[in-house]
Amino acid sequence: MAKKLDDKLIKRLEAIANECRRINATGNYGHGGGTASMQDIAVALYFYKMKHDPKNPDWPERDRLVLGKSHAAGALYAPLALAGYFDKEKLVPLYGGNKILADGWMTPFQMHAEKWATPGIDYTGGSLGQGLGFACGLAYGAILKAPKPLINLYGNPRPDPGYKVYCIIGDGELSEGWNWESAMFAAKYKLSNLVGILDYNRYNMSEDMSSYMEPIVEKWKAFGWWTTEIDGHNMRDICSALDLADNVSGAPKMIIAHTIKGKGVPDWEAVRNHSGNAPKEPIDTVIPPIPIPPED
Amino acid sequence: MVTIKKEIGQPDPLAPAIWTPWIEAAKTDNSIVVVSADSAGRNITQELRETLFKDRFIASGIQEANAALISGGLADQGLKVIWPDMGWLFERAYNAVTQTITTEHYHVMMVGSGGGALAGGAGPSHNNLRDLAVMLPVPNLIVLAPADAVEAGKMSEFALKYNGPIYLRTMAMSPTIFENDYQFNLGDAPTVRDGADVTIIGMQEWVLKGILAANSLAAQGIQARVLDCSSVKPIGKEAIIKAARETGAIVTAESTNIHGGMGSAVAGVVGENYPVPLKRIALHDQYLHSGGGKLVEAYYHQTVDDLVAAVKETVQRKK
Repeated sequence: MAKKLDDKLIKRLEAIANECRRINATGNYGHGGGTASMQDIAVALYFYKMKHDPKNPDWPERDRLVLGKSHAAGALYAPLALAGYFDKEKLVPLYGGNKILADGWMTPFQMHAEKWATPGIDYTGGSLGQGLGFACGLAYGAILKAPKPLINLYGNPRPDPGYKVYCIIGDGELSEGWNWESAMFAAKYKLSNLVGILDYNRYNMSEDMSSYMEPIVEKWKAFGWWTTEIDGHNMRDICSALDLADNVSGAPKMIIAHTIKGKGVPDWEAVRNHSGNAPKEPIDTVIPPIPIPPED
Repeated sequence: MVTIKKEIGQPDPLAPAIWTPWIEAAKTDNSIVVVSADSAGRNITQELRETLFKDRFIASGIQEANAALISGGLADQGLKVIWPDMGWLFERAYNAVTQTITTEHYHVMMVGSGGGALAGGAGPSHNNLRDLAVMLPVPNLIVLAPADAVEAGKMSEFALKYNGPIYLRTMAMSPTIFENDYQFNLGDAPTVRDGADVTIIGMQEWVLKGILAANSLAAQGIQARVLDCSSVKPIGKEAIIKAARETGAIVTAESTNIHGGMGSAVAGVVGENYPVPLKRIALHDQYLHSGGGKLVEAYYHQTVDDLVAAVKETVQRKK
């Protein structure tokens, strides 16, 4: 059932994203900058848009989330924990080194998000530029498996697969040519159940890429994708764009989310690189807690 | 011992034997899909596309990496994927294979053509000399290399049922040596000819060449055993150790580069378990000129006579 996008819900999503940033900032994790830049998007997906069930991570009818920039795994682990996929306490081994917990879990959190390891993760990544192609395969497979009779994918109408595939890609990995192979494929087969979200924080590990990423919107349009641009840290913007994408048929969709590397963690935001050393100040000073309002 | 044909005839194509089990199964099993990076049209005809596969023929265009990526995604959805391409082109998709297909053990059968490096011979860019070296170290991946159409067909049937990733290195044509009742066993190196003085471990066209060499050697008083190392990974460890123990000398033969091929894998098994004199026939770190046939075979020292000479030299090294 669709959730009502009102002020109360926006406040709740913002509070969840804040808590996720607190979890990741204390983790001393290697890719803090890119984790923080996509955090709001991930929270909007898990707590507003996506159809999923923490009690049944392998539910076949769930929406999928493919993370191309899998090094930002913490941006998924934290919301998955808060959603109830696993205890928040279990996130500790990711940052604290390998440990076997009392109930037998041994670091289920890989440094790069991996499906086999962690409930709720839909793609095993690490090497960049591959998530979008995998997501294309998922989206195509979802249509093939749709319960309605098959209709030639070149034509309309087409079967409704009943679930969608979301794919978060990083702008750094967009330099990998494979993305553009996948972009052509998705447009050829009009994979409208595929929604890409570009975490456009402009920085890879060594430079500001905007000079050669631009014109980014025109690139995706030229490849046959429906596109829109949003502020990737404005929760209402993110949710609205995700809703808007639902109403577009006949093409894959790319939401260009303008983001800030390290967003919400002052030390990280100041340098805008990939690093993510834990702030020296107490976390409650750096990122004050915001109580998470209960869901209606 | 497996039975081999008494009369070896003209070369037969391997592709129909590989495709038939999947095409037959696709008639009742909707989960079978073909991924074509402009590479399956020769075997899946326009008619088959229109009448049978329809949307289950997925044409990515010439993009091997994305073909690997979508194969992973399709298999994640429970579909059984067959993706053929030229063997050397999997190098282009290699990192996509190792991350997006094999880590999650997806049901994808990759068919790499152009094995049997001396056949075809479209020049250095098209030499399929490195595929074993790159595919053998990939965890979760089974690597197979059939010696003829019968064996290729049995391997394809196996791949259809095996719920995981397989790389099958095939070749265009080869005379059929196995009878139709041949049974493929994963992880076995079947004996195609028995002998007690030395063992020839052949792969692909070198199984037949091994038989021919053994016949020639028998006339000279050397009884050579011949194994078919078609299950390259997992490798037929037991048969190889047994051969080392019983015959005391081993010669491997394959049409790939000597670095990282089947011979290296055999040498590892022999060296660790029962060291005996060993020699490897392969290509020696070189690109092959365009062309094919006997002349090129001779130029690169890949003839039956070269194998015979290598066997004799190795037998002399026995203590």
